[in-house]
Amino acid sequence: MKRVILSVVLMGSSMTASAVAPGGPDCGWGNMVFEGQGGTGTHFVAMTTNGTSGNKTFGMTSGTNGCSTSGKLSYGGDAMVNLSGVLDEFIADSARGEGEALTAVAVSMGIAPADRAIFADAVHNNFDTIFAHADVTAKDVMLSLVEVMKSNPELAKYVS
Amino acid sequence: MIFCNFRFNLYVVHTFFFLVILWGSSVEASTTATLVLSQSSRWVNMLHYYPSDLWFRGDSNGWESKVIDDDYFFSPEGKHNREKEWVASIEAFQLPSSIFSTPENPHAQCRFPARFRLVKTLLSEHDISLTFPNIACPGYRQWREKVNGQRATLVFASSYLNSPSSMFGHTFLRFDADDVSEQSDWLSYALNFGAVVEKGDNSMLYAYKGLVGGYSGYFAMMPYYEKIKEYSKMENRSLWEYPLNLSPTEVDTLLAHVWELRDVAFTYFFFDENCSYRLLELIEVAKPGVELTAPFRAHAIPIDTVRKLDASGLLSDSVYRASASDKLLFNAQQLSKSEVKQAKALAEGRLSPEGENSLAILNVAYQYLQFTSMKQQRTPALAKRRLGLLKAINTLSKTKTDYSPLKPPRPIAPQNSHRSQMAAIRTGAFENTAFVDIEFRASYHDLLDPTDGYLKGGSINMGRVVFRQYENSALDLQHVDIIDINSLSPQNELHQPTTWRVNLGIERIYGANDDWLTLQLNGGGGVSVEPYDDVLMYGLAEARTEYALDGSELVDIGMGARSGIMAYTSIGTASIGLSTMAFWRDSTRVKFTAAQNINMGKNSSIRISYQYWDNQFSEQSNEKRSGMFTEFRYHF
Repeated sequence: MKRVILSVVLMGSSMTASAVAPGGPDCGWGNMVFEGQGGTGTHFVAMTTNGTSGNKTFGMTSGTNGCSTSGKLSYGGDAMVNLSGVLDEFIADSARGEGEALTAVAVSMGIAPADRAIFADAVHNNFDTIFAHADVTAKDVMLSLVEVMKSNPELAKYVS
Repeated sequence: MIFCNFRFNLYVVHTFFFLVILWGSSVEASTTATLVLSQSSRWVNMLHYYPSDLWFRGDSNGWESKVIDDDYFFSPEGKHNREKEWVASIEAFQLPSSIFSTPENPHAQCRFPARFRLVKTLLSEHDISLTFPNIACPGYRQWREKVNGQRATLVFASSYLNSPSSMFGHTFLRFDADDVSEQSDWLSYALNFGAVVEKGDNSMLYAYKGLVGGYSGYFAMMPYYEKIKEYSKMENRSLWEYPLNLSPTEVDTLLAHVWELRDVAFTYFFFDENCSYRLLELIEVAKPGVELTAPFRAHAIPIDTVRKLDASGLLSDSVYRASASDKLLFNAQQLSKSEVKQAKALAEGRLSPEGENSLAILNVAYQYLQFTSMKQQRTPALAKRRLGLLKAINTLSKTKTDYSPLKPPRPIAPQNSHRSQMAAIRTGAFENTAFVDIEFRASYHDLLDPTDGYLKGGSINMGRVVFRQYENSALDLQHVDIIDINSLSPQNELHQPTTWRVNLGIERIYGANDDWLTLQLNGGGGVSVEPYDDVLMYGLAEARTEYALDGSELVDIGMGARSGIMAYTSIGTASIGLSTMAFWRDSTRVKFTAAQNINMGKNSSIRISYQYWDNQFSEQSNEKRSGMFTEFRYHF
């Protein structure tokens, strides 16, 4: 049955925007930082299958699995990038001001290569603002990030 | 249900338009060509046909597609009949656009863009002109733009020492945009083939079904960072990324075919029809004329498929992506013992990060905390501790700008490791009687084999058989390992994995007056340490059960211990080992072994070994045996 349901999603390629939450339900916008991966399958399961159980998508969505691109949260009129899939990696890179997750977020926000170092510095310097406490969610982080970018002369153009 | 409707509709429409379209076009004129074209290797590859007599059926004319779903075929006989599927596909591609083209029920041209392209190509190569309606495929186009791939990369997930499931490796594909170097490959799409597991199957059932074919395999696509997280972080496996030498057109064909395979069920077998095999099939579809799958019909070990692609000139220089645990251990190695303890205390919350003045220590502390809490549920306290460490790193990194976490050095690339199958010839004297052994091993790597590209202390052997002939005697079975796994995973301050081994096979036991074969299962758990670089010491407690195959049907169980030292030198690996076991039927067995492997290039080695048995069956009979052996081993 799962396959059939997924088929519907895949075939219906023009996603109908979900009114439930930005990015749709189960999208992870409510994910807190350091969510961890509790309860994930064991090595033994992977042994004969190499399967990704029950989490099949075909790249029809942007950001992470199961997220619609047409949520209400947006910057500059564009649909908002979904951070929830790389939140843990992003926070660690942000602390140091460098790393692949930081680049990935910059790219997905459409930041030109020339401005990425500025973006990295802005995130690095405003770490305490963006990650204000240990229970911030992906949505909180995104909103703070947009604020930080708005107040930066070079980055404001990406979120105005 | 969508798919069922889809197929039903097609058949209805086929019947309805059969005369109008089929006889109205020039298909009739090309019936002879149909035979030829539908037998072309490109059509066979596209539909995943194989001769169905390969293993089971005597019918040498039979063909069968590895695709399970009926929806994949336009002809009701399409799964077995290449010609009928060819004709039915052309019919479907010729249907007028007005019939279909809702997203739920796309036109055949949109459902199977690669197949459509191939049909047109093959027809035009044979100067057959058929007319097809011009169909716009917005659904496919939209997906294709999202999967913005002009280049394809093969990714090999290597093994992790303490995970038997990973020991054979795994492969998947990644599709990159032309300008990926200026962008981020984290956002590229990965394509994975794997079995889809029903929730509720227990792990034994997983293993069983994976081996015998109880699962269906599916392709799935996800952002590459999902795979990085899955392998590098969750499973502690390094990733090797090999750009494939495919042109943008070939990549486009590959992706068009991938689109056809979404949600399509394939047969799945762990050993042969697995992740790696299916990827080779895709590359064959993308690059006509390249033959990759033939050597792997019986079993496809992922690293062997990488070797095959390499030998076919399809791989470029690889990029190595170290696992999270490798990064942690390498960064910790740069610290002193007291600094590592300090990092551990920081991670465990016994020490406050405020005032810590070393970024290297804070970095190891954070990496360690991430490593240990990866599989734990989130707690507020843990989250606070992690943020506290990151805040300290953040503050300090603003003044100390020259520090970055270190990257582990790149090991020998896995495709440059010794091959998976092995044959050996061994000569020696056992109790002053000369003998010759012939050995074959289906896979994969033992503790003494050349370690380049493998993990030290890890071995997995399956299907190892030894026949022995003493002078003036007949050839006789000496030893069988059905499965033999060793995981000698050294413990250190930050990581305490269990050392374990398991062995199932047939072994020769030496008694007072004779010797006999016994079917045995043994295994145990313990600890390994690395007191010096390239020296491994281990100790295990073991249990064993055995069943004599000499007709006596004697069953025995034993408990014992095993210990040893391995030394990895530039010549090759050396080992000494001692095992003792006390049995329920009052016997004890002691075995001492010493061996030196001498590596001679990548795939050959000479091994010299000494073995000594002391088997005490009662107070009167104490059987001592010893033997000195020399062998030549060749991996192929």
